[in-house]
Amino acid sequence: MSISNRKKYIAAAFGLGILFFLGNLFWIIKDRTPLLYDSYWNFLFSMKLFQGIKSGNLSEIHRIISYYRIPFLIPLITAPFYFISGINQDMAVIAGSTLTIGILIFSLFKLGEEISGYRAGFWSVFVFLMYPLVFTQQRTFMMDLPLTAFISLSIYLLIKSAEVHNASSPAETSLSPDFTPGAVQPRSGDFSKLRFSLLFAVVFILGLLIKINFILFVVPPLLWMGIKRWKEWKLRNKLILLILLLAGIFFFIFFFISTEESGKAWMSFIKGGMLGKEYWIYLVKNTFLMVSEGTSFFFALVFLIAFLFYRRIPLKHRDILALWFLPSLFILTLFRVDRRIFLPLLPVLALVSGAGIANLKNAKLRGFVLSLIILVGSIQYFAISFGIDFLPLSVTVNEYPVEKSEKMPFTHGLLHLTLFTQIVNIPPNPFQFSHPSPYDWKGQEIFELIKNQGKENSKVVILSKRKELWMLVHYYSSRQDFPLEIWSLDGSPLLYEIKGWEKNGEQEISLRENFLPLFENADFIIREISQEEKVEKFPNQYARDGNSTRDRRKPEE
Amino acid sequence: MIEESDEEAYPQLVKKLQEINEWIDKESPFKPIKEISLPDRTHLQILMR
Repeated sequence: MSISNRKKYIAAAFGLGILFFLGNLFWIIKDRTPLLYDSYWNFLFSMKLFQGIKSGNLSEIHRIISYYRIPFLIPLITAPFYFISGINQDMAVIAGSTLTIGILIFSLFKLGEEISGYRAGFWSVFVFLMYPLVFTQQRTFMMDLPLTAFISLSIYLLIKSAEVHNASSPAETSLSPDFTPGAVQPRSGDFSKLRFSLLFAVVFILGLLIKINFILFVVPPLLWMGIKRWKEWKLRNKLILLILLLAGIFFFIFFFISTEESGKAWMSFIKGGMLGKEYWIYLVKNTFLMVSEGTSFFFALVFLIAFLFYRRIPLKHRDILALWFLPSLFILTLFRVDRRIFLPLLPVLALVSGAGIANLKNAKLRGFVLSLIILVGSIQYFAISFGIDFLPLSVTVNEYPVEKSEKMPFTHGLLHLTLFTQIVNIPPNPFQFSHPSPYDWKGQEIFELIKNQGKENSKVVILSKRKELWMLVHYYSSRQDFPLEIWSLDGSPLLYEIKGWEKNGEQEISLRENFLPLFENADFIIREISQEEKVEKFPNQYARDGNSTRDRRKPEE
Repeated sequence: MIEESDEEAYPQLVKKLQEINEWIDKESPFKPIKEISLPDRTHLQILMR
């Protein structure tokens, strides 16, 4: 084992993190797409927590957390950064993604090292960061990537906390020459083991406070570890396990089952018959999506080859990796969920890929494969993040959002061969793509108009089928500390239904009530008009536009 | 959130929204002050009392 070599790989992983941070910073500065849909809800949550912290109003913080009933860790962590920048979406995104990348790089490096040595750790990190879904999600304010980071960290700590000293075991001594189990080999009952157990417990609780899906990925390996090591574990470790399981059940009920919307959604998905043929269709579809927009075709191929190779080499913790991956894949398929929900599965693919690459015995072949991975990975990263003009494209649809004179090539299709795909959507915002967008969504313009013509706390009612429009204006109103009462239709993203009218993101009027007074008492109304209505109502003004209409790109289901 | 099948799913809501639109055009004290097109070709009209 060469310590200096290991340090070089650690430095390289750190350098990779810096490069990704700079890439994200550059991208975010260039992009003008506002946070919309779920990403705005997360941001709104962090903004409201910041306002509560700033005013020292603890009861307001408690009210917000109780009202939204969603895990709050990342919004809470990002909120203090607004003391530096003021309320700012870019700051939320960059603070969240930087924290996430840091934890991911550390966890995956250590996990890879546990499985097959530090080289495997580094290449797992590299492969993971090159997955399109991973680097595109770093540019929005969603919780799936932070969740992935905390899952990876907790699995690493779980492995460490359950480790039993067995240095003479053939399975360990026959590992690859790179294998570096660390300076200290903890024994059952060692202080270091308890330290890892306690750290695991802390990360487990924090993970539950990021997204409740955490349970699906971590509880199966935790239970398995508990069953396997039950006899060896001391009472305190058993107690930690039981407390964590109880905490998991409590948070699951608190954040998911007990809220009306989640509870109903849970039941409707189960009753929806996703247990028959449809289930298997979704499983195949999810697998394709995981390839096309998750890992990319090239890195799926790397995984496949590594997996076939991986089966023949003595690597550790296969059971943990399988239990991290398979139960959550099968359970999540019951729900018709967005591909980003499967993000926490991708570290497993990266770890297998990294271990496979690092264990190639033939030096020339290993050099060739590594060069190819660096080359293709880098090309994909730049092509998908910024576009590379001379690369060919698979399909050009050009339907959104540009004028004919300034077409950008967008690709579309079930299976992207990523070498030839230069742009993907950043879910869940159907209007955010992986290239920085220069298009102005006019939120500031609308806000400035209202600010100049009205006064603080003016009542603005939005009459539109687009329930997210209020977010455009609300952001600038909060950012400039010029409060407005913005009313908009409110829908349930889980149940796909309209629930009522909401003021600044909090529901106040149900659909059953008469909402005409809402409009009668308004100071401003913002209404959506179709192209046809525009021509019909203002024939002289818009005659030159003609009658042609063009549907905007619909959000993906 | 309300899309093509609005009228089937939310007939009363759609009807009510149409009524409010007519009220704005014919009876309300609101006057248009600006029209704005978003990049996805959504056209917005801003009205003020």
